[in-house]
Amino acid sequence: MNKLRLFTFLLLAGLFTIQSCKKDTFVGTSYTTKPFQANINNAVWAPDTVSNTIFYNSANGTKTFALTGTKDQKQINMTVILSNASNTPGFTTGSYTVDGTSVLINYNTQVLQNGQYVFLPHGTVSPGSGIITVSSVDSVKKQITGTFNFYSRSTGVDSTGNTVIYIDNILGGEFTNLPYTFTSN
Amino acid sequence: MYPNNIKRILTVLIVAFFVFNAIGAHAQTETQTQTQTQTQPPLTSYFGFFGGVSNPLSDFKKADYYNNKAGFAKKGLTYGLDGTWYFYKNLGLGGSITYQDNGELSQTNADSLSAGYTNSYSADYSNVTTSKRYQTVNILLGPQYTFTKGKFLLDLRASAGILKTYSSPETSIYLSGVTNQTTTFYQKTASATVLAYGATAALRFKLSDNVFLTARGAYMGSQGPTVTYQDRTTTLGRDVTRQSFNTINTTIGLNFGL
Repeated sequence: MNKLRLFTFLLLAGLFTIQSCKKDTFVGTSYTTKPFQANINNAVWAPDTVSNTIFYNSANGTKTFALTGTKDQKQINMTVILSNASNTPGFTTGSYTVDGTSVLINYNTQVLQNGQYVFLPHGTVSPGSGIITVSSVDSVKKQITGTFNFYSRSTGVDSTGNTVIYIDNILGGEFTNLPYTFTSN
Repeated sequence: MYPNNIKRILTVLIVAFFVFNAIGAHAQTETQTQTQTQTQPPLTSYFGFFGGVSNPLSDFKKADYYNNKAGFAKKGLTYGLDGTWYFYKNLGLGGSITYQDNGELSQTNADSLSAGYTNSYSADYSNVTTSKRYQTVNILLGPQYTFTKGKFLLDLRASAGILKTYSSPETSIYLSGVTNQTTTFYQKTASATVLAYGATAALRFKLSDNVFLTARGAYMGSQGPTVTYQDRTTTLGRDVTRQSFNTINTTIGLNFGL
């Protein structure tokens, strides 16, 4: 009987030791599911302030899709202007390459200027260096879906006096069922 | 201190008191009416060991970011010592010391928490790192009544005591794109001793005069230890202040008569 009790004690001690050693670490990662987001220089960025409009100008027959998102001293705004458009709440789907006139994208950062914080372009998005794709438009619900990618180039001077070129990569941009307002004059 | 716990413990003690009195009165009546009554000796006191599975219950078991009481606990190993001293016929005072492990957070749990924090803080993304596990010991004591039928004995016990928490899961949370929470914050592991209560039903089979094979179900509940955070500058979403425990342990063991 004493041997059995000793065995019991040793068994419990052994189990406690084994169980105490069992420790695992897990890392869970989750990205925002916001309808408007992009990767700015490899960091996910989802604006908390969004302005999204489609405006029909009857004077010149143009329709302008204008989307702006702002968060954490960063701002992206894009504009696509269609000519010979109709006065309807929809927008033509397709891919629009940045051309500097009717398709524009800017990556802005907030800076202090003349005592005020303002958003200014952080570099230049040259023609051909970005693309906006409008994949679907629900003109009844007034929701628009699409993607965008571009890079913005700026120059500066490093500590040794040499001129250097900085590239901001804005990749994987998407707007999914993003509500918009339609206006016309 | 813990009003609900105290109420439960008092209820258990009051019920035990009335059971005890009822049994005493019944015994007294029998003594008076039976002229040739022989005094029945108390059952043989015993002690033993057990081992099995600890099953979390209710909120302790749930894995829901939006339920602040959810414990994400898992089934785990439990073992311990148990004994009863019979002081009057079938009535005794039973006690147990139980170690139980209720697991750690899984990869799925970490992903779920990360999604919840990302949403609650409107973050661009979040990383949730989990570590440590539920490891506790409880010591419970209470009145026990034993029914006998041939080689079988059925023990029913209500008990109260303490729950010592050695560790509980710890999480570190990093949020990107949240102005008011720029540093990693932590939900710290909990280590404390708190009140607990329980109930046990055990079926013993007499293998020999002094050895019993026992199947046992033991419930344990407690409001659990306080949970604290470190470096949390903005509180949004999940906010755990106390982790309650509710488990039922199903075990088998051997008991030895004294």
